[in-house]
Amino acid sequence: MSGTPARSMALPAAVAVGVLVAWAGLASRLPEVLLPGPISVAHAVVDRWELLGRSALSTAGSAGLGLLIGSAVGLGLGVGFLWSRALELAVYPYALLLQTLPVVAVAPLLVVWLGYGAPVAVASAALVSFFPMLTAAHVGLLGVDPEQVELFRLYGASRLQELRWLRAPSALPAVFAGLRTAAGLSVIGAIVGEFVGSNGEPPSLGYLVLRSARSADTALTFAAVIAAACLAGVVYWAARTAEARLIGPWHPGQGGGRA
Amino acid sequence: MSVERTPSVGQPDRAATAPAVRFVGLGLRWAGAAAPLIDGLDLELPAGRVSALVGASGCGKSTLLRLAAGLLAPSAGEVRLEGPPLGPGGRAFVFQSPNLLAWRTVEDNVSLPLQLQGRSEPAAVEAALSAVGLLGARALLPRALSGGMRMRVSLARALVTRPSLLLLDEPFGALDAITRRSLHGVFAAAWAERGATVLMVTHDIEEAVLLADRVVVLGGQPLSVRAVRDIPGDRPRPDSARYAPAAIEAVRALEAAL
Repeated sequence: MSGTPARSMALPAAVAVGVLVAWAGLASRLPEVLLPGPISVAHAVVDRWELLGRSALSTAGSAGLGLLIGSAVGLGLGVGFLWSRALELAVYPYALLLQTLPVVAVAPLLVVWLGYGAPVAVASAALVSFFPMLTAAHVGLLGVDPEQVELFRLYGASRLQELRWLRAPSALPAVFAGLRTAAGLSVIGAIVGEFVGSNGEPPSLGYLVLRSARSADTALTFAAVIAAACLAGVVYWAARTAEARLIGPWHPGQGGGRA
Repeated sequence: MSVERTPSVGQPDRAATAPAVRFVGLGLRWAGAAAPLIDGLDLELPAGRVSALVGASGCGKSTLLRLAAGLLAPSAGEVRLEGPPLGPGGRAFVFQSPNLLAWRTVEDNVSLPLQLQGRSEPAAVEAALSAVGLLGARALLPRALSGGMRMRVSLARALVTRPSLLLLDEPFGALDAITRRSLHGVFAAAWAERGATVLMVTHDIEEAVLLADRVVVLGGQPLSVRAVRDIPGDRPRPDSARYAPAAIEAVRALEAAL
């Protein structure tokens, strides 16, 4: 980390003020439908607070559950690849293929299978968070110091002991890097799922963005987009905090910085 | 560096339980290699003694140590451990780099070999830590330790199961000269007390003559024994022993064979 704390607060704050001023200046010259100013967006946030809150919670739930499912499958398959070279050879190409599949294109299929509602958002969040977790687990579990593996073998360690006491902890930095990516993606995945598969029950950010944009309630669209950004920020921050707690004390990658 | 220990260690009684290591017609060829790395090597290393394997880097001496550890299987011949069978934790290996688990404290790194066998022996961990002078650092993470301290943790981890066969792969190779000298004393005392059979790989002949009972010079392709020399005198020897005329003469003779 570079600079004094005061400086690291002041610089982003100055940027925020600059952006707000420019935004307000531009908005005063344009119709409200095209670009609502910061004040009307703030009004929309305050007036529709309850709807925004419920929508954000529902989207957060879908993203969180999807992330959980995607991570469980990704990490589980990573362990499977570690223990079975045959499984790795058979399945990994298709996992790669799955990653190149755009979730936007698959989401309508999910609606066909799951019907309208939150499950589509959960499934779409799971789909996008699965791959970064699988890659992280795969790289992390295999990227162990070979001499440490020899040490475990020398003492007759079982595969499970090797996983629990050597490979899993040493994979944690990679897994957390994957989690940061997957956490951000899961919010995007949930919102894409809501674009396609939400009928407004329960209300969700994706649905709110679509509906308010269609009914020219642009201030509410802005409010929903800001809520989505905050959500992604919270998810990222939570992943980062867990990372610092769990591996911060021993992992040299933590708290580095430029000279 | 002061190390507390009992004065005389000629042939400790635990030597009775330590194995002699005998390489018989040993051969090793890497898959796809044109010539074998080792071909028909015969060598005996005595029980309960410290043997140093010396040779130019890349000659295959570390590979020989891995064969003795059972980490590699020979493609011909065999490695015979002559003596009572080794139980779990009967052999220990110290790598050139300390290979500590970064997420475990010093104490938890040292207790790892016991834990892998489902044993919990705080007294053994305590004794191993005390043998290398690290009782005060038990709660630290490896990150907080100097290179020399990490190497001592690595030795304590190797000693904790009271192995009868201790294999060391250039344990001092990556250390600066001052740290290396201070560690010689710690290592020599720690393994002398236990009477294990010790095989140490090094490229430093002076170090070999100071620490070992038998020095074996290896070289060539395939690997062969160039010279074997027994070094008389009790261990551990003080650092000044390296300047004794007999030691200097031994170093000269062995260097000529290198």
